[in-house]
Amino acid sequence: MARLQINNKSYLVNEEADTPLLWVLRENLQLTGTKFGCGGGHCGACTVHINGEAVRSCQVRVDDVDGAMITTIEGLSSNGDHPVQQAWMEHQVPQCGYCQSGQIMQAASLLRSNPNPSDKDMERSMRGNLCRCMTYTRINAAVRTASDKIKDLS
Amino acid sequence: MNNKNISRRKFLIRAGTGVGGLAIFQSAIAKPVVNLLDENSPLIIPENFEPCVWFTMQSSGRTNVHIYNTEFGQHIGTSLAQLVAEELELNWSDVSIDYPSMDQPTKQAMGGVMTGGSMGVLRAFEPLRRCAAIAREFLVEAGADSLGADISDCRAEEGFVIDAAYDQRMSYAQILSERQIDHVIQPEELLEAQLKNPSDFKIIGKSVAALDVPEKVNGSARYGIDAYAPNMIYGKMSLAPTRLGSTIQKIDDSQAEDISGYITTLKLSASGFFGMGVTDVALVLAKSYPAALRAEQVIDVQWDAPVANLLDEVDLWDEAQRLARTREGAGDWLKVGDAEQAMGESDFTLEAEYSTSMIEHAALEPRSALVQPIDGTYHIYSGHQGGAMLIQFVANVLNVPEDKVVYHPHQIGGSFGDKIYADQIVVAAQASQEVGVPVKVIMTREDQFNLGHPKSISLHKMKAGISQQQYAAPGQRILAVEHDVIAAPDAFGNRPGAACDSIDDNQSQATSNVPAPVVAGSDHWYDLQSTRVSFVPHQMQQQVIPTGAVRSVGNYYTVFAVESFIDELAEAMQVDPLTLRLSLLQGRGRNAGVPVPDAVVSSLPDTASYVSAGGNVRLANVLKIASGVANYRSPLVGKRIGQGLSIAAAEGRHNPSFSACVADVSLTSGGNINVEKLTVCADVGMVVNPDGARAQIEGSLLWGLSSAMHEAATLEKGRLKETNFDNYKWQRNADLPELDIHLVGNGVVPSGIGENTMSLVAPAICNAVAALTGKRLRSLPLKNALPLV
Ligand code: FES
Ligand code: FES
Repeated sequence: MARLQINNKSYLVNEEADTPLLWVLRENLQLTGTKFGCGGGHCGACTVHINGEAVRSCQVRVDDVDGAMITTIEGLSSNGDHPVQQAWMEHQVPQCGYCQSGQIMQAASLLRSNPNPSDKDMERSMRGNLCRCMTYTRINAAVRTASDKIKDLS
Repeated sequence: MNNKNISRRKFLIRAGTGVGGLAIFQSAIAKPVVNLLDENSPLIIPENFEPCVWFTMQSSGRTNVHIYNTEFGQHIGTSLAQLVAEELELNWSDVSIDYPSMDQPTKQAMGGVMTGGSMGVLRAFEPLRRCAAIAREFLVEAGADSLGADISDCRAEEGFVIDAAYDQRMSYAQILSERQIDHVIQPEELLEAQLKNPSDFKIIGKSVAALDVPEKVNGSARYGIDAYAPNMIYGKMSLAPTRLGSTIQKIDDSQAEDISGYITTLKLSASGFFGMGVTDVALVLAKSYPAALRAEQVIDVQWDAPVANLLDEVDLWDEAQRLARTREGAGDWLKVGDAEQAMGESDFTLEAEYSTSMIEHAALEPRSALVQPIDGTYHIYSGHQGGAMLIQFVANVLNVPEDKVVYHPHQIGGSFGDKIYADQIVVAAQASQEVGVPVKVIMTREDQFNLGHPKSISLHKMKAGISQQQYAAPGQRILAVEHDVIAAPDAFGNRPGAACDSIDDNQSQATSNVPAPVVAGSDHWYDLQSTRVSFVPHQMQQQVIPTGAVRSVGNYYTVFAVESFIDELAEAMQVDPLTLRLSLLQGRGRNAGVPVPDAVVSSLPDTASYVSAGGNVRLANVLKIASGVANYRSPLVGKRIGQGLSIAAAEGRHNPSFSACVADVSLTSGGNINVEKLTVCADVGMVVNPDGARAQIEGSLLWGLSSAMHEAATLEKGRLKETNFDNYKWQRNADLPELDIHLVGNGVVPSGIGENTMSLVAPAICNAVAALTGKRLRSLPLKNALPLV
């Protein structure tokens, strides 16, 4: 039995200790914005924040996040208007969209810890998030725009 | 606006019925169903309609466009809504889209609706705009009536009917809240539709934001894998040791019985589609997906694997070489003149061989399916590229009438051809039939690789006969080209090839039946004196792996072979590759394209027939633009960079998008290829949404780069060796080339944008590498040849 803090709500989940957090989010709690792509930590589609840090939820046992603060795409902002999401809209980043929750969560955590990333910082942070529609050039442009927005806010 | 025209239509405008709204095209799903096969039933669509798009207008002023195509990243719903909004004179913010379910009445009304081949906008272009234009005339007449105006003074503009004489206006919302317009458009009316002049377009040609983007940014978009039904149980497949042909001898699930939530394991069979190879599947059922995953680890399935299928990659290539020698089963796809005779008369010949590996779709969303039985009807919640074909296929597998299967479309998390295949849907459907409750089957990434339908390997034998005459135009010196394409046949798409007497003959005769998608692109647009392209079926490959359609289908490898070979010919003839190409793009014979249509047409135009208007002269023009913009082989480019060209007109002659590419390539100090820049010009006929088109081309180019550099699926003991993204490598967000994309709309109608530029990349890189280093790379992916030393 794990007590999960997700998007500022508490859930009591009765699953085996080694169940990947990803499946608990998606199937038990119907938070389906977090996606399954590979199950092996290779693609980043399942990225969520755990205590503010981007983590691959397919690689996390539900037992290990008992009591941690978890944020999914559904909880990143109240109206889908996080600066990263705004930038994603402005650049019309998504094609199929399947990787984009993970991309957005990854970018949001990068900009939280480093509001003004260099190109190298960006590459280091984003290269683990695969996009089969290959929207990479727009992702990178949108991260830049989001960084500008966040700098303007502060 | 012609008054007489309108009254001839005998339409009916009922005032004050209290029912707001205009049902111009009554959806077959709305009741009562209109039977389109019944002559006496009012027709919604012309007889020769292929994909059909309907829309309904509400008294609130909103227009809902019903999208029967599938969304998998191309934002087709937005493009189709733009066509409707333009001719209907809508305010863009009043437009929304939805995706109706596919049931048997809908299928009957619409025929096969299939999303693929970059045909969506092209097929819809005439019928949609015409329907919308007629609806607009109705609104103008109704508005004029309400305003007490003379109809000849009235026009529609951005959701209003405007009476210019008295300077008064009325919104569509007002008009439709006062009356219902009850008219079903007759097919003959479509001919009379008063279409706008393209120079007056306000929404077509504009980069409106895609309507499906917001839900993909806030996480609320529903994909097939997100489908949910109360009481559903979960299925995890246990797959065979070989991709095809294995059978289950025995299932021992005693170990699984202790797993909490485990239900049972079923023995089922899976197949991608009609006519494709079949395999047994053990489906582990449990109350939760993690429980199904756990149980699948411990069940013991005894398989009988056919020895004949235990083949390795090397066996496929040995067989390909044998077929190249024997030409067993060869069929001609294109013949111009007598290539064999011309070859004999040439001064010298040049031969080359090109090869490409299998490529996986690797869409980020693995295939999944939820099937829910309700009162004997099977409801499919999934993402599939062709709902109409799907319900037919599933009904056949379940042995139930077709009206007992309904498909509810979901967003698709990437397809590239993958979601044409229904293995997991038929597995879920059979299971739900057996256990009587909703079953959701989710394929893991490993299942997806194992149960995939990759692009076939390909081997190309090319031979050209060349004349020594130094004074002839370069193109004239190539007397004959022969091209044998050796690849697996596919399950659908056989079409007769074409034969022409000579280079100037534009009336072709049919030749043998050849799987058109597999050889797509080999019937290129070069004006060759004589040519022969043949297809040699690699049956062995198809028997072990059910290969399928992957983005750009055959173009990926045929364009690689043809465009590399053109450069090799240029080198042998000592002419510049640009000069040689331009001299072969002169609009001769079948390469002139269809004549440009008159303004007045006597029957509902078959849009597709106009798409190649202009022919290969348009290819010459995009090549000139791309090479000009890229400063092709100018001294300013610098010796560090090699530049290579390519052209393509994918997906096929039935819907060419004429495009050209210049690749700027350098070598790293370690001898690796560094693609610095891709300059591309694409003539897509008419640009409906420039930013959307650009996005498709950006993705297509990086797909082309990824395939060319990295991607290879390999056969090992009868199945793919690769199992996940750690051993199947593709382009990630690093080391990206600069993409310099130029869009041109030089045609009469819009052609496809999702696939056309993908196939340009590999040959442009290889031609650039040859220019830089003198080394010719003839096999993809290029990683196998690196480092170059
Ligand atoms: S699903 Fe978790 S990294 Fe791919
Ligand atoms: S948008 Fe399709 S995988 Fe990224």
